Amino acid sequence: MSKKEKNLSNLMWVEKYRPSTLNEVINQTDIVRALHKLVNIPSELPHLLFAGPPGVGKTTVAVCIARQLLGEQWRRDTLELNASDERGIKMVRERVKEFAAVMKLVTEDKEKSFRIIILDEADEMTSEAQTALRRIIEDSSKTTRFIIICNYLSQIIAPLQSRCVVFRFVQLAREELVGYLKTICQLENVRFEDKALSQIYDATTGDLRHSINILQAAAGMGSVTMSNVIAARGLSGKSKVGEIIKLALSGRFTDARVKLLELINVYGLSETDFLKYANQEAYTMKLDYPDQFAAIMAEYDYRLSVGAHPEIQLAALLAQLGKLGSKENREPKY
Amino acid sequence: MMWSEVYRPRTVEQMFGNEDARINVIKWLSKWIDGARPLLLVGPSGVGKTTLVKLLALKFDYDLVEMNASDTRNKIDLERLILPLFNNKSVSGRKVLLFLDEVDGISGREDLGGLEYLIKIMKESTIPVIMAANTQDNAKIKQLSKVCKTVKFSPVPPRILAIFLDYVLRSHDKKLDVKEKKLVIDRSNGDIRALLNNAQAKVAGYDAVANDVSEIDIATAINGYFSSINSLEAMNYISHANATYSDPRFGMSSDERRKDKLNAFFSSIVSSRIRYDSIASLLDVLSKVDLVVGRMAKNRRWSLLRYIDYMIAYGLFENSRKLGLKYNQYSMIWPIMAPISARGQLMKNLLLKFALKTHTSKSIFGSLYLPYLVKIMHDNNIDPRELVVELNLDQKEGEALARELEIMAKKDR
Repeated sequence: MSKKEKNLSNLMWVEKYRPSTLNEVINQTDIVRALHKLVNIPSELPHLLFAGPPGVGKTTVAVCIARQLLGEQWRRDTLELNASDERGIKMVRERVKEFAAVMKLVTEDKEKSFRIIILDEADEMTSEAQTALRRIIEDSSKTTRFIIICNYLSQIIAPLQSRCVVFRFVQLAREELVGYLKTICQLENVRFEDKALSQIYDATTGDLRHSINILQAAAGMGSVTMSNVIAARGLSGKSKVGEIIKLALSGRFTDARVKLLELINVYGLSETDFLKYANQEAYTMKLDYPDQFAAIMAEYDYRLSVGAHPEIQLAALLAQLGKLGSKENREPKY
Repeated sequence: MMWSEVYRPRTVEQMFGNEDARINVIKWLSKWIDGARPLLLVGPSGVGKTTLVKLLALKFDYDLVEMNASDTRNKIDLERLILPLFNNKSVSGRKVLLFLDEVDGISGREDLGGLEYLIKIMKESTIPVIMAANTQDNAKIKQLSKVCKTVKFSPVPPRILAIFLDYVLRSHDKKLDVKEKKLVIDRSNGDIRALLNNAQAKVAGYDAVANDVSEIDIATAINGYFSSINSLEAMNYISHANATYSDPRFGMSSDERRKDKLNAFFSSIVSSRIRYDSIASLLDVLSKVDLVVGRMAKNRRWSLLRYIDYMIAYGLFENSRKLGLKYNQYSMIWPIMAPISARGQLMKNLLLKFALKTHTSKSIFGSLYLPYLVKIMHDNNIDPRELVVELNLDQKEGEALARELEIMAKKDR
């Protein structure tokens, strides 16, 4: 491990306790067992496709595989791409293709040696880009292994699915997550309430990385109590999106826009994540017209994908929510 | 006959507005000696820059050699015109005044090297040279103004235009009511030529908007749209606006952003103080228009362009009357937007670097890690300057973290 990485893990438990080998992965036992077998015969390793909810270890497992197969040099021989940052066909043509092409020259004479491309959040890729990827996978399969990661398998085109072995990661069970958080608390000498750990599970619906971040922030406030967990969860971008939705529903259009501009410009929130979080947060708000809320969200999800000005579409969405909120004819319940 | 021609001043004495600027120009020309710096007139159109120069040439008995935006003005063209003038000062034994109008219109692409050449040659002028420009925003014009004496012209104030308008109407024995007069004056934006054109149109009963001027500034166009009495007039403003429909996803300079019609309407609407239900109905129109803009850009179907003006002009018209909407270039007031932009600029690299380190996207790092990282640093009293070395951050990234820590500390208090 490089020096800088060690320092980030000193600071953040989520990095400190991130498994670096498959043996250290405690959940997804069936998948890990199967992967162990594959990793032992590197020459027969197929392309892999990991699907499942956020924060269950898909990327971590992918990095573990890269590290175990490629050894010390894994960083040099691994290309990590996140389609949520660059989702178009340009990314596939320029970065993936280039990496695949260069590596042939470097590794041609070595035998088992190949490189790995980890393509994260692949369901964010346009179908155009996925189609382009299909050919590249074929052309470079002698020297390259792909690990494609997504939340929703249905958004990956069939020809890509058929070129990979699919692993479906499952959501962490409550006991599993609470047990894991407890272990960390003991190792870090932190006082905690059992109820508070269970509450972290509710707050993150089993997203382990978000859970560990909440745990550490709550611990920083003294100990892991219910109220500290609530406060710690409030720090997240997800909660801030929830606040934006509440402001919009109560007709405070400009206040909602200010917060949204901050999230997008400072914290780099993508429009897709905004919609995702908004929907999750609204689910907990007990609206009078959840169906109409969903219909508005669906409409603007579509308009964002077709339109050219995301800023205009998002502002129009907030204004529509204001209209819905006034229809509820009172302050919405939170 | 066009009033703007009838009332064009015949002598310098007949001109009005910008008295100080005019006196400065007259002084400069009357005292001009070889080697004196050229003159750069900066100001909006229709305040008399060109007229002044022409009348002065007449008064002081100069031969006027003129070049304006209708001529191509690359380095070679300019050289061909200027060098002979600078080399033999009196071609026909008469004094020569060189006038380069609309120098800010010298284009970087068509008129390659034109401005660079001017900046160089103007240091060695041997005859009086006057140049005129509308703005000094352009970096090249700023550079040019360093080798010149600059005189600024301002829009003519409404009260002076009002006096002049009354005089003109009286001489034609015509009348306009107070509201009509105000409209004519407002629309002319301190431009005397526009005032005369608008007034003549109003008197003649046809509500012309832009007259012979084919393009109007986006600010004037949006304000005109919101104050138009009927949708036909409103449409006229939109279709003549010096602006386009573009796709910001391919990147936009601030000037392109200003000249994006959809953005201009958007920023004007959301920055106003109107109720959210009005905003909702207006933004719904823009949102639908944006779908067409998006399709047009994505599929390169430029034929869709012909529908968009209509969609906006007629779609917004009904619901945007009498709301006092005004053009605003910025969708969020500066005191709020400035710190957000500044933080965003600082944060950019940090997001990218840390997303890579934590094997996730920028968006997820920003929403599920960054607030916690800052909180942890805050709780443990960690100075971001210590981390600059340890986390291999550059100075900007360190500053970004420091700024977020400050904000968190403020909230904590």
